[in-house]
Amino acid sequence: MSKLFLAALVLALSAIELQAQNSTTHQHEQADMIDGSAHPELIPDAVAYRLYFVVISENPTPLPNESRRQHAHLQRAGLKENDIRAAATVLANFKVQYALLLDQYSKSPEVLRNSSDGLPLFIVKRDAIVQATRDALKSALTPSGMASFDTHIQREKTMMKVAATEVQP
Amino acid sequence: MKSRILLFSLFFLILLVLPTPNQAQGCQGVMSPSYSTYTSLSLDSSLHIYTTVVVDGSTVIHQSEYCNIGGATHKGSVYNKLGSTGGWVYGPPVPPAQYFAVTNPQEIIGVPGVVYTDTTQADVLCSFVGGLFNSGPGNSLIKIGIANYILESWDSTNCTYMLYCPNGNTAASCPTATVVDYGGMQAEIPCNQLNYHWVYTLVFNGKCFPISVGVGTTVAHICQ
Repeated sequence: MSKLFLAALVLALSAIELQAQNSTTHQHEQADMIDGSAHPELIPDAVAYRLYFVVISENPTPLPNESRRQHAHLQRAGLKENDIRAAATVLANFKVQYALLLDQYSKSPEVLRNSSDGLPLFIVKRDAIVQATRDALKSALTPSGMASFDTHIQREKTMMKVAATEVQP
Repeated sequence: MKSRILLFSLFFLILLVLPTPNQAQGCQGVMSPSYSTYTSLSLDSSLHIYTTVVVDGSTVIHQSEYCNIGGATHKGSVYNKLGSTGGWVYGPPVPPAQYFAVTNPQEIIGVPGVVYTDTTQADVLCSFVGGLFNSGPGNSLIKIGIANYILESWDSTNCTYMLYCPNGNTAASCPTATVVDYGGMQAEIPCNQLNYHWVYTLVFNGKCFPISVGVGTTVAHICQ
């Protein structure tokens, strides 16, 4: 009987150990960040433009306070009135396309089965929208307006914190 | 009899602590949060101060087939409190692999010389393990500085003003020696009829931000 008891005790302890090992289920890594206030030069332009566009873009028919806010941001970027109007149209297009892409990705089979397998393709499409928006701004704005805009984005990197995976994927 | 009870108790304990088949698969991989944040700041001619905070990104899931994350959700939230205005904006709970962007815009009408605190933070919470991403709290001090300028000269197009603070030029937060009101002579009230020019500037954590708003006036203002 004592042997049986000992065997049961060993089995119980093994089970507890196994349970402890499985406590790693749904484990997360600590996020590494690039702090733009310390190292703005490490933040890629594609990331900086994307974050800026996400913040200042408004819907094609914005509310009055949304228009005021966007106007203030674009004025701070050094744009004159005609360039602000042109940029607002381009940025509205960005907002629509970005929202559509995020919506499509959220409904993708990969995301629905908790997989990031579709992420590389999503990132390609996301960055293509950002680049297309930059190209559209270049066409729509005056050269001096675009130069001010580009300078502004470089300055704004100091206000960004970017995931290290965006810098070295 | 005593031994049997003890044996039965041990058997019951084993049943309790043995992992379920789903748990037993374990999690060979990990989830890597990949989120970026940005805080924008601006000022307009009505002295509205605007700050917007965004968190944008997703959690990268490796080898999800080994992870027991069925039913887990992630939720992005952004805190932005400018002065006494604002608070948290929460995104909806979404599947862990979903990409999202949550923004929190706030605005106040600023009073020149008053220092406002802007507190910001971006979080992503996992319904299974809690905090997954935290940008860390940011506390910024924001002020509208004002500098007073006096008319010095003009031509057919522009007016030039020089710094003149009734309370001493060192009181100006972001002074420049002169400012030019370009095209001011074509305004409804030509600039040479306005002896003073106020320039509002946004001061962020003690540093002058390259945002300034100029106003022609007939009254001098103390500098702040």
